[in-house]
Amino acid sequence: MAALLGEPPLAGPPRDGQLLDRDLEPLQVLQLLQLCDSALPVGGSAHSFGLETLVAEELLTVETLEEFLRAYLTEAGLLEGVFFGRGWRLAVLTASEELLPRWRALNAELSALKLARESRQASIMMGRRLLHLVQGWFSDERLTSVQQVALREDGVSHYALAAGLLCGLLGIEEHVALASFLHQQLAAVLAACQRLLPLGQRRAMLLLWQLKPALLAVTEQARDCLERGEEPWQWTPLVELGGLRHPYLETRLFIS
Amino acid sequence: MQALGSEPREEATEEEAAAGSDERERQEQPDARGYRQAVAGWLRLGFAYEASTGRSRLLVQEQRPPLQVVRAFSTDEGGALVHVHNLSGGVLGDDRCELVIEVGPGARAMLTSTGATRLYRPRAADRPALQRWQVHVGAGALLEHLPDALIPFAGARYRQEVLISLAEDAGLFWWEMVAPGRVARGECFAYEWLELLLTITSAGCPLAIERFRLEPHGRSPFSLARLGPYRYCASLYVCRTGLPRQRWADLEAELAGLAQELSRPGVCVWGVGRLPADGLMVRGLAQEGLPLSAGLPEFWRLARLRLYGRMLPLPRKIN
Repeated sequence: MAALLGEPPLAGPPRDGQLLDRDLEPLQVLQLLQLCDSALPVGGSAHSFGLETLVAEELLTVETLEEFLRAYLTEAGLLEGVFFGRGWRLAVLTASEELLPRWRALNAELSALKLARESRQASIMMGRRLLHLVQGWFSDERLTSVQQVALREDGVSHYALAAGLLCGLLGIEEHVALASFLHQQLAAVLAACQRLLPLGQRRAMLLLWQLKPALLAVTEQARDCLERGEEPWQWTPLVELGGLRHPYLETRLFIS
Repeated sequence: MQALGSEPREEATEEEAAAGSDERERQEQPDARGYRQAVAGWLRLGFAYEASTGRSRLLVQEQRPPLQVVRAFSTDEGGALVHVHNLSGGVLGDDRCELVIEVGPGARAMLTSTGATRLYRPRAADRPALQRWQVHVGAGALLEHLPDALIPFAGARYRQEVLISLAEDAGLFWWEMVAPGRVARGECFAYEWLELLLTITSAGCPLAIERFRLEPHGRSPFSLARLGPYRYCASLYVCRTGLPRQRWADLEAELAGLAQELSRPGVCVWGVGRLPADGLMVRGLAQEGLPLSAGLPEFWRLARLRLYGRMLPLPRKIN
């Protein structure tokens, strides 16, 4: 936990909107597309993150979905985005001995912030799978040391941090990597909603299109938090309760 | 209940006294923006276990208005029960209140309020009110914090910071309930903002972190991502460091059963989840305050029975 350890936040790249065009190599674009593909096999499609309960109780409907997603992005999206960025910034550390204590502290902090066990476990499981999946993709001593931590039974590795670190190690510019990661998260939530609600492909894709400005606004907020060393706010009690109550639904499409 | 005497704080060193005095003088400076001095409340409580009597006593006490403790009462199992008074009747704009609670090894302390914490409307020039808790629960000790609800009046701006550290085999029951405002007067989410921060750590490792900012005018609390159809929010943290995971899994299952029993979707819903280690959290949302204020003690009693082998009555003023 950076705050508890009293460590200053790690610096990020300069904030320059032109970086997107200038600094991303074609290979990096392709790597980012693969890492942020909604079909990346890390187990995201097995979790509803509490939404199944909200649908079962007839609170979340196709009509209320867009408003929900906008608010969800500004709360949960901001938290995930900030931790993605913190993972990304770990890549500036060149030695594993420096990186690992911060890695463990950030993961412990995110675990403590994810109060609903279902969401916490899902995030850890997806992080582990991601780190396992990329074994052999490229060689980096720091990645190897994090993978060793993650694959141990108690080695908590959250998805946002793992994805951020990977993008950082690959040198993919932070801003575009963060936006792509949030896009992947939003697409995963929409995919879960398509299985839970009478939501067709056209409507889902339209929503994903229309929410891009909101997503970019959250990306900017996350970068502001990272630059200022501020902690993000998050308040999603109903979604949290959805996760806590999910194991007790009579029928479930998603795992708890 | 038997009253226990309070004793003055142990002698501070000269440096400590000077530093404290400077700090207070700074905080007592009249506020140029208004007629009311900024208030810097201060309450320092210590609890210690006395082996000779088998009871916990309130030993160290330093207080400064508007915060005040009059006396400690002995609970049925020898713990010390303390009512924290706010002599202002509530929290005003510009107030800065700090509470430092130290529960010594083996001691048992129960803290409660004398009524709901009212967060008054500040004047436009007032700084936001701030209340900061620093809590340490020593080895084998137990702290139970069972206050009444927080009621933010229209226009209120309030930040609450709670930092709790738990030593080995330390226990904690900590609940909080937040109302939407003075509902009977038609005030519902009419406050400007609330910032509620809570961190519970054990051996330097975070067990639970909450960082809420409720800003009704900017971000609707009625969004499904936030409260949805509910207006009141409550949480209870139950911790005891060092217990095996299976104990928590069993307790989670039992409390989740109670949560299911007490939940009436659309009226009141409860959920229970294990923390990453050493504890669990109970969360409740409701349309009205009563189901939450009635439900929290149910969870507290059951968890207490399972973790400490005994239920206790609620502090007398609530009964």
